[in-house]
Amino acid sequence: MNVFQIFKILLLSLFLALSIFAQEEPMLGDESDGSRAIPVHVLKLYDEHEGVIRPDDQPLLPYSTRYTCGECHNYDKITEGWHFNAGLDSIAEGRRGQPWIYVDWTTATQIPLTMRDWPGTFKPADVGMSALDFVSHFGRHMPGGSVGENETHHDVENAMRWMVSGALEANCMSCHDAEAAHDQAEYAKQTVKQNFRWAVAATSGFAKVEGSARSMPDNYDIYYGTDPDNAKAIPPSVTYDETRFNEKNEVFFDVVRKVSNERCYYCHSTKTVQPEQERWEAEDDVHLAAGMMCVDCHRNGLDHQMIRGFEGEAELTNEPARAAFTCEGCHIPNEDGSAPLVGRLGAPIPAHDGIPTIHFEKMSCTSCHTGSWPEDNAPRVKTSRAHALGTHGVDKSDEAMPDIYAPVFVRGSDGKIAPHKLFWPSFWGTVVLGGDGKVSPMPTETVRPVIDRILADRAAVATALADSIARADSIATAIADSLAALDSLATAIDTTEVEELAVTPDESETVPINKPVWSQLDEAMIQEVLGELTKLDSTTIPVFINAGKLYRVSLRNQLLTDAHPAAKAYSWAIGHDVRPAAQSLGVRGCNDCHSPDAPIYFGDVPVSPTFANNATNKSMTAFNDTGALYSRIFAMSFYVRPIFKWLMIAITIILSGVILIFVGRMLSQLIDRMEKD
Amino acid sequence: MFRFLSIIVFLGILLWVFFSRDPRYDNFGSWLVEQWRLFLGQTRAVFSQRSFSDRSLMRLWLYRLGFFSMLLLIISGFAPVVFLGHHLSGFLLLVHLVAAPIFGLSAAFLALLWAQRQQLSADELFPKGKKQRSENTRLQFWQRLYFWAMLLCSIPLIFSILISMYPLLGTNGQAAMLDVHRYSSLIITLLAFGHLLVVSLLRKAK
Repeated sequence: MNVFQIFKILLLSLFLALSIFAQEEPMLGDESDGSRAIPVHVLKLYDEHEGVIRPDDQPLLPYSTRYTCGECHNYDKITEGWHFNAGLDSIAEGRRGQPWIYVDWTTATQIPLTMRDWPGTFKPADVGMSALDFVSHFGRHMPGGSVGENETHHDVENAMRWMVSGALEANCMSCHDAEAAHDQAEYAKQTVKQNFRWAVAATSGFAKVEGSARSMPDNYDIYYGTDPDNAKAIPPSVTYDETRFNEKNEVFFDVVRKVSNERCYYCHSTKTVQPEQERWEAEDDVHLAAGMMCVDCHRNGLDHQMIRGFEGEAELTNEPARAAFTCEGCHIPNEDGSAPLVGRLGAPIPAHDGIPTIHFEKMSCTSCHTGSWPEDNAPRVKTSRAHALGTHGVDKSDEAMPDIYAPVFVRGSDGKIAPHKLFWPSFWGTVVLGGDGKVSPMPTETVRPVIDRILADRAAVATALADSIARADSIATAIADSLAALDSLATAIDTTEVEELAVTPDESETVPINKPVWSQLDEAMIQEVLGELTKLDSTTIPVFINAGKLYRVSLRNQLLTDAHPAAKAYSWAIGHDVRPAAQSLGVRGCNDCHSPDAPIYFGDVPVSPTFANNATNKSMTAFNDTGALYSRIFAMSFYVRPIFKWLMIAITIILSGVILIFVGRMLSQLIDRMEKD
Repeated sequence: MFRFLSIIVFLGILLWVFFSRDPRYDNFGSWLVEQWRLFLGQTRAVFSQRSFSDRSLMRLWLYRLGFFSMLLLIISGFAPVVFLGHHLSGFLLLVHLVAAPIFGLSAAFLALLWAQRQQLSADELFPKGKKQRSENTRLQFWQRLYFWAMLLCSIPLIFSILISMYPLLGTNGQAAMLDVHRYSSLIITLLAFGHLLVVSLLRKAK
């Protein structure tokens, strides 16, 4: 054996040793022994420094999921899952979904934000929102992790604030806690107070959190207690129900593997607000009504890469197994594969009698089966994440922003028409002079002072005007009094009745209730604001994106409007609620979709919110790319379809008859010939 | 598969047309125009026979209507399949929808008005022994055969789409009917081309 061979063996051994060490040892809770029973979770609580929490500790610290749940489960792997991975560089963006929608009434802003690179969305930093602001604002419906925990997203200016608030760790319990006392709304309350470190504990049924990290100074130390400079401010603190601790300082967690639907609903509820619907009138998804759970289809492994269940997910993620969890995967027989997967959990196989196959190429299953039945005006909806549903003090009014419509039938990136939720972005932005024409949003903090100033000027003018009117009124009252005196004198002389003029309000001026407006805006205001913003930066052109248009001022200070990709509506496909087969589009015949007033093609989608007198509608055909003219002609063709069918029957009978007669004649000739022969 | 077959068929037809052109014509386009003119003239001759009555004029126009509507159906039906690999939709579908009843009606009326003259006798189909037939007779036999073959193929072509319009068949049945429609149309296209060929040869034979 020469030196070179010895060196090779050594190198190989080293490589093998390294690869053995590099293999991740599965943790206690991550490796199933095959039992389908749920292990009882009686656990020690660990704080963020991995110290065991005892109920008599001083000060008491909130428990950390990273170390409490992470004692037996691979926390780092789990937090790479779909719910937690927005903003992680190593993760694919996935299909476009619902963004966070930042609404600012003063600046007429309604803009889609996300840490994912979805087309049509912006990063929080684009509107001047730090990670701290983002989490404080939207943490109410975040499952933790991601931007709330990943320090690479935390800006240096807020480093001290993050020390006070702590990290917003993944909240395992927001899904897996089956305890009835679990209060997810409390999580929302804590994130607003920037009590990120305490938020998970606050939701549990055995801990109570008080105080606010937001009101504490930058140099606040959680071990110190009260703020010496502001004794009235209550520091964040946690107290535990001591009766829940056993003699080993362990607490029972009522944890389930199969998450209940109600837990999903906290973040994934949708309410149709117009036309108004009472809660009891709404229907459940047909799958849930049949006794299924959300997680029966939206499954995941340890990596928490939830199956989203849309067609094409398998190709997008390069995981073929996901295809079995789409509508088609369960309901449509597929002869590929070694074992039949269709009919899983009792899924019925649809007949689709009389539906031409082109429908399945051009439309998703959800087009006919999902969402509310399409209406002439796309209904306005509220969603958990956009409208903070389920949180304390939420605006329950129907006019609460943002303005979202569903179902809107949009052609998706896969070329199929599918029902979507849709809203129109509205924000102030800039276009770089000589650039590529891309609109960058302007931080609301830049625009707000300008609008405030203009509004204040207008208010001052209005006050002055009101004063003048008041003075004029007092003069008029004096004159009226004099006239009344004269009238009473005249009435005494002549008893002729005087008819009063009835003043009726002009109904055309009322604002349609399903089209909320930015009441502070009008064209003059936009022009004035854009004019003011022009003075801030000479290298960019300020613009206002609203209701599908881009507004800008010309060199002559005229307000101009253009079409621009940034002004396009943002939409995302919906998968629920699935209606029963008997309530699917097409169940009453082709006319459900192919008639000149069928909402799926000719329904109106409000272009809102916008300013008063600017409200318009857009036909559904604008979103599904079928073309208004073609759709209308095609729909009209269904009027002559019955005649067409009868014509075809007649033609078939004639052709068959003629052929039969002449074949008969020929046969008769053949028989004659055979007889002669 | 259907796309592949369609491409083969159309390529075959195109190549055949290109290579069968008259060498006296330098320009392929002008040769095509001349063939077209000859075809129209020949159809007139076919229908007029000895005397040009009202009925034969009607037959001529029904034939031409049927021919043009079939051309529209072939173009609108095959173009998206051959060039794009898509199924028929959009404005081409509307064209298809308008041309289809015209073709159907023309076929039905032609069957009623022309079938008698296009009748094939048992002797023609199953000749006794070897009879020497003239070129013209042979071509006329083929013309009649194409007529009946096209009529025969029109039935599954129309019936398959008729059945698809009623809620009788599920997805698999619908797909099968679509296949019947598509393959029938491919066969009819081939037959129509054969018919054209015979007509042009008849012209030459005269």
